[in-house]
Amino acid sequence: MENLNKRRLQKAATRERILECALVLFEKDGFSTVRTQDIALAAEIAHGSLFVHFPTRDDLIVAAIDKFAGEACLQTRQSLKDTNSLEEILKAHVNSISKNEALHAHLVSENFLLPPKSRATVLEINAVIANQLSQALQGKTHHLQQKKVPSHFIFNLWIGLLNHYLMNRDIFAPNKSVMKTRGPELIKHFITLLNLGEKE
Amino acid sequence: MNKICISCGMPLEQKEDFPLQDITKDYCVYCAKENGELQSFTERLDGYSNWLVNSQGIDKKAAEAQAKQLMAKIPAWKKYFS
Repeated sequence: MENLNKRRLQKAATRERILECALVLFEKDGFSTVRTQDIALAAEIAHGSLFVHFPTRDDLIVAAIDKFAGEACLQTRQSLKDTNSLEEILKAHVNSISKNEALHAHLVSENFLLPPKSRATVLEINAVIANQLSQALQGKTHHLQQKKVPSHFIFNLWIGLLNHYLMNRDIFAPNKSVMKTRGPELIKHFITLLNLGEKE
Repeated sequence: MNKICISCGMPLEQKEDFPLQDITKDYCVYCAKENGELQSFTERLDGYSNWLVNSQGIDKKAAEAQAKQLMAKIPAWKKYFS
């Protein structure tokens, strides 16, 4: 029984190591080009052993993105525990992306090539933020609601803006974090735009 | 409390997160019917799809396909997918 438990723990630790190594490689080279041989090498296991944990390459990508998304969501949720402020929600979103801009950029640029389960995970992360944004906008009688601008449009505008800066981070903030450098102004101007037309 | 909803993955941290504030349940208030029971697969699929549509304005049929992808990974609904 003790040996069985030891084997289970070892298997779980190896699985975790594979995912961590995979995420490092995905961050550097994206999801489409990294080979399973490279991941096995980085995790210091035989190539065949990798498929004991993840039967297909897609299974590995799905698990890696689930791990990344799960951790990011948890951190964002913690930071927004007691707030319904629009500014804080946008800051938390920007902050979350800033922790790994390269990986977020790959999720955007390679979205169409991701396994279907991972595309759905990305959509789900966005839905969580969109939901919080919607609640923040409903917190007060917002003039945009009165003008019947749906909150999903506002969210898509926001994510479109962020993705544009993320995909072109080399020209918006060369050799720096684009979210840390340009994030504050994006938040400030976006909120100003939302407030345009609001009666004083 | 260190529970996660078996139906949607939401952390269950306060008793208000549980249906009828019953902390013995394994699912959240949003995945439950009014009587506190877990929603059916169809009800949950509909709920998930509507959530995706309302939050991001995507097409309903596309949202349903995406919701199925998410539900296929979740303990409570895995068995409905081969």
